[in-house]
Amino acid sequence: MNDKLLKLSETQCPVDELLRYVRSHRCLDCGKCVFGYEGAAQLELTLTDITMKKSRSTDLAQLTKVCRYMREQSLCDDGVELGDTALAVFEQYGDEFAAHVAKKGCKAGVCKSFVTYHILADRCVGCGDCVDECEDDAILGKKKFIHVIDQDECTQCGKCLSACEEDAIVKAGAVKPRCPAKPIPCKR
Amino acid sequence: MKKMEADVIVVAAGLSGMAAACAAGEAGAKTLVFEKANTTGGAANMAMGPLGVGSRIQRESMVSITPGEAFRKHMFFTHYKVDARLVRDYYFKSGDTIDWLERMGVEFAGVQRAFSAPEATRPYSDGEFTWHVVKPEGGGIPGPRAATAMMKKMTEYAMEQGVEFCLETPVKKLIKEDGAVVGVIAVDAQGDEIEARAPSVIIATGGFGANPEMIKEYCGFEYGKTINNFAVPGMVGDGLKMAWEVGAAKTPIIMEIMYQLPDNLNHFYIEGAFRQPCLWVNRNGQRFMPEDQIGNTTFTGNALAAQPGKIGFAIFDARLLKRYKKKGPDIVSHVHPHDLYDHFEEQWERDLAAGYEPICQADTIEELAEKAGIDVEGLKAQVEEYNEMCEAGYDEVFEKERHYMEPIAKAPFYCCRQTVGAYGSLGGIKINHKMEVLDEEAHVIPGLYAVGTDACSIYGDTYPFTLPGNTMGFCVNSGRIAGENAAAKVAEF
Amino acid sequence: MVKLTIDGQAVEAREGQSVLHAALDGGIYIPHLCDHPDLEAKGGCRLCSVTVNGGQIPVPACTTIVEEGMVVDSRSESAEAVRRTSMELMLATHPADCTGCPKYGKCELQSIYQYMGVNGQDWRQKSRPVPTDEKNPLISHLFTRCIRCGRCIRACQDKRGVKVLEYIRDSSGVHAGVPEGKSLADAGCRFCGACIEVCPTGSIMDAVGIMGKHQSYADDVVPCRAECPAHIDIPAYIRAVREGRPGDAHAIIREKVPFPLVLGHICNHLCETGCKRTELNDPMGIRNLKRFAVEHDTEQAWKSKGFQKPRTDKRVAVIGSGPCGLTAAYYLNKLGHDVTVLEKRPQLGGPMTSGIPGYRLPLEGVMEEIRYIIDSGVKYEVNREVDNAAALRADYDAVLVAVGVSKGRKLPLPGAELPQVHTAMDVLADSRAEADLSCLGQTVCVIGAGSVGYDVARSLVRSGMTVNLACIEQADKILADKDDQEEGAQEGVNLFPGRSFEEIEAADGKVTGLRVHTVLSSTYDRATGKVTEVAEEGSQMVIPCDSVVFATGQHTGLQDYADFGIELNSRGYPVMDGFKTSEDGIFAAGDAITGISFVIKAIQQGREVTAEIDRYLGGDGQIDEALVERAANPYIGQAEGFAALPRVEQELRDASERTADNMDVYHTYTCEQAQCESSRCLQCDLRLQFQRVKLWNEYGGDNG
Repeated sequence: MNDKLLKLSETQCPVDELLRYVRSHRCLDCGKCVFGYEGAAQLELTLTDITMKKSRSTDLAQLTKVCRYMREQSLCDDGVELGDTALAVFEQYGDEFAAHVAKKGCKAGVCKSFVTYHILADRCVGCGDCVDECEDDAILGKKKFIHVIDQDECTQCGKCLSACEEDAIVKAGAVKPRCPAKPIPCKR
Repeated sequence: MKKMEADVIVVAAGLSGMAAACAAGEAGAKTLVFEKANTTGGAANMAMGPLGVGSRIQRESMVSITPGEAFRKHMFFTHYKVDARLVRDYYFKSGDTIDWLERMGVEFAGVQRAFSAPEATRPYSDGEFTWHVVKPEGGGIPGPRAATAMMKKMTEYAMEQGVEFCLETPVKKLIKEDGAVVGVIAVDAQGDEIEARAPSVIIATGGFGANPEMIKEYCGFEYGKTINNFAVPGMVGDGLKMAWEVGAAKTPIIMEIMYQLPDNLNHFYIEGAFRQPCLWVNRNGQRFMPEDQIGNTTFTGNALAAQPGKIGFAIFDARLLKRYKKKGPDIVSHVHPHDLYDHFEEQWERDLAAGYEPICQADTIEELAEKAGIDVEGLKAQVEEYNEMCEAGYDEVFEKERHYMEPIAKAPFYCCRQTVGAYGSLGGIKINHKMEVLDEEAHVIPGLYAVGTDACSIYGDTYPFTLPGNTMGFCVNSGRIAGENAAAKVAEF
Repeated sequence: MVKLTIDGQAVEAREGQSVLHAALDGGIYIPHLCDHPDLEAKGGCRLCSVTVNGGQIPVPACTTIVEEGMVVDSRSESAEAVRRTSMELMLATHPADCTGCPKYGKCELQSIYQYMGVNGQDWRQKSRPVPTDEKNPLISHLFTRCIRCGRCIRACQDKRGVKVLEYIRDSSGVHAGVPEGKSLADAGCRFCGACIEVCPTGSIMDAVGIMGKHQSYADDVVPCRAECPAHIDIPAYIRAVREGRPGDAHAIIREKVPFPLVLGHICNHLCETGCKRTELNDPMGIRNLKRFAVEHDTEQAWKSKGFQKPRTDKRVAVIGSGPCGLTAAYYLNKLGHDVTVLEKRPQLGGPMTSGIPGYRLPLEGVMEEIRYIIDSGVKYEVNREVDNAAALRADYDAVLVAVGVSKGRKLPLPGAELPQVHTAMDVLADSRAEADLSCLGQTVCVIGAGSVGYDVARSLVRSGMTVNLACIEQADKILADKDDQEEGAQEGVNLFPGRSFEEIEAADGKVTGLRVHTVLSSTYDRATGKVTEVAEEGSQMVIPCDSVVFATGQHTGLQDYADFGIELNSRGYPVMDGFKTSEDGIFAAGDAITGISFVIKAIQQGREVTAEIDRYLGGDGQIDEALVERAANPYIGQAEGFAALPRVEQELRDASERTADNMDVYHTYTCEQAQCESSRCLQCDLRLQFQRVKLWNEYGGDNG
């Protein structure tokens, strides 16, 4: 079993960390047994969906089921180890997984789909630096107007965050700051 | 030559043949089934379930449609150009047939409609709740192949009734003596001929979906070029040919149309990704239907077949792709994987590099048109007009639903050529409502029955998608009726 | 034997057998996919999960060995759950749409999911596309459908030792395949087809167009044997040659034909037309290997094998001693009947001794094979012409008319009745008998460039004559095979293709030349028998010659008799119902009923009519015999550059040397050449050693 996955820091998301572990696991390169290979594939696909806010309510139950079979029915120790590790991570970080599946949020702020970016109205000076940086044309507004991020267009790349010298752009999880819906003239 | 004898011979063990065998066997007839493949079920192994009207399941699900209403709806859809008596007997049998299947141990997950029409067309094109989808063993969500569980139950039931199966033993021809069909010549796996005799022979070979020559000759499509249909190996028109050989009358034959990419199995993400209400044009660059209808695969297939060269093109731009990736597809198909757009780019790059023919990508509309083989000026004018209508928020041409009016403006542009597909062929052997085969003079050829898609000419020119499960519905009911009639004939002697 | 209980049923198993096979042998079906009866069990798929002795944790039945008193439950809840989940996981990533799959209806995976009734919809679906590869000869790869059972890999690695297939990891995932993207040929594939045979899905299949040409699967797999009219076990005798057992090879050929050496020289080798190696480069030199085997069989061990049934009291007369007649005589005698062969010529053998020239077929070899038939107890009379078969029937219990087509036919040209105009049949017979041919003069015109025309032309070149060979066919449409044309040209035969014949010119009653003109095209209408030609204007010429020989067709000659005693059709052939003539007890076979054909076809006719006559005389018609035990080692190992191994040809003697005598124009293979050529064989027959996996619906109705 991989113990490192049970000692994660505040800035590490257990769903994301487990997904990384699965993606680099030998089981995905082998294919000689159904539970090792297809089990790892289901872990990868499902965990990916969970990190992208696309989970189904049955996901944890299904993953638990397949991991138990990996532990019990894999052809070699690799599959057993992966099933074991995943089950231990589910148990230790059950709340975090539940929060992801319920689409409530990613506590560590790692899973991009759970994060939104916002421009705080009281700090924005309408300089337009963020607009220049945004590759997706997701920031609305012109000079001297408070800029607004179009959440439909935003891909959560985070580039605007470092472009803003006023620290007006913030990352938000479950709790979002109040922002104008359309650009309005700056007060400052 | 090996000789066999029976009361009823069934040619092929797909759904219609199995229904005939179960019905004949349960009525006490000594029944012999010949099948080319080494499994039973035929094309039904890929399907999900049959139509039924008036079943127990429908009553308990508060589905109120009656056989009489289904009959009227069917006849309206086909403009009364088909055999009303045959259609009537089929629908009036279909509810009881679902109950019959349940008695064999088949479990249904429920009754559904296959196609839910967009708002504007709902009054006349919404599907009825007639599709009885088979429940997978041990529960779970039904999907493609669900009906295979039904085929297993039917196979077991037939075996219990003493039906004998000759697998990997195709029938080569019918034996006709004194104007009546009295048996068949088959060839077993070792290549040895078998002469099997019976007073009734039921043809159930499933049409000619895997026979490009016959598709060309009878339906006018060129396989791989103007049609990419399902081609279940072995469905090469055996039954039609052997029936015609003994004098059966021919009926018009149609392909059961939908639309599909070539080699779609290896390009599944591409196929699914373009089944969206984006911009659809023909070879001249002109739109040809309200794209909100492309979820109706039957009508879209028909529309494609009516275009120059029998092809169309679906086009979206970088902005739309981003939207699909982020919010998922506008139209969700129950066939394609849920994570279409997560894997889209990987497959797109690979297919572009490999030169997968139907697709192309370009940074300008001109270049796209050139690469795709669309009239350049035509497409430019169409895109301009379309984008203006998007700006205005209203489709003046086809009144496509407003929320699908998204401009094609941001490069790169993606295009995928769309071709007609089909589930197989329908019709060919003329029958009456007892499933007896008729000759050119409309006289019964004694001893010969035809069922399933070999004899399904009750749809006119288009599959009646508003009564879903219809192909399997006709197969199982025509088979059952023929099996009962053939067995009753034995009892008379 | 080990006694155990499976699903409540008492089962007896062999020591060391797996629980899975104990169950299957006992008629109890347990789903299984990665297991194959001929391959080592691995336990990867877990579909055969069972619980043992009341245990809770399921184990794979394929890797669990039977023990005395063991209690096995394949239907326990936990075993069923493992099985179901495994199947769901496989289906979740297997293509959802089977309808385009060529394996549909013959797919093990499909049969198992039908049996289990599950699908993978509760799991994440994923497509793992791998481009379909149809660039290899004989084998199609469609690895999008691969379920990683590893059966092909085990077959290729362990069973065959070829070691081409492995698990491959690429961007779409893991599947079976050839490492480093190599073609099969470059990777060292021996195209044995084992991978195709064991693949449970549509991942590895025979290439499009390879199968479906014959009536049975076995014939499709081994086309050489199927194409041979006598169905000689060709792969088996090629194997015997390769393994240095020419005697066994001879015996294998002898199982089906009594004229191996004749066929080794002149067979038209339909087997080579069917040979699958043609898809790689050139077909096997099957005929040449046959000749090698016969010539190198020093022990003749086959002579002491084979059946000889007790004598019956039935007497059979065979009219004609060609390959058909002698074959029938040989087998009828083995069946115990008293056989007499009646031959109108002075020696036995028909065309083998009086038609086919010595440079193609050495006389001593033919005589040895005929002598063996006579020594086995067949009686014969030569110089005995039968003019009424019905009259003969009075003295025999059955009569076989196997007179062949020995009468030559002349075209109705002016001058055809001149004394210096002959038929090919007569000239060839005289040539073979080394009779005086001076009546032909120094320059001869042969009309007709089929196989017989070339036989005449090349024979007469060897007698020192100048030979002009004329035919109506254009140069590229000549009927004789390419070897005949090339070798004939080397030997000095002057060819006049595309000529129409006007008249045989004569002076003082002696032939002086053949007047012809050039035709640009000609078409033959089978229905009316008429030839329509487009002549070249002003192309008329006279080919000077002292005599003319017609090689323009043959017939039975039966209509020349006043009454042969059986009904004949307008062309002089017996009216037939199968092998029966119009008269009870009189049979006919060979060229006399088929028209001119090849020796192998005539031999097969002889075998078939033997069975028919034997049944008529009260026997069972059974003439099959095994003259040597078969033991084919399936471990064929690796062979460098196998796909490209070039076909070895027999050495052709120099043209000037070979026209100086009438000896065979080819040298037989050396041992080394035979070794090389036989090593090229794909051994398609090994595929048939694999047992076929039985599907659930073949286990009777009491399952599930």
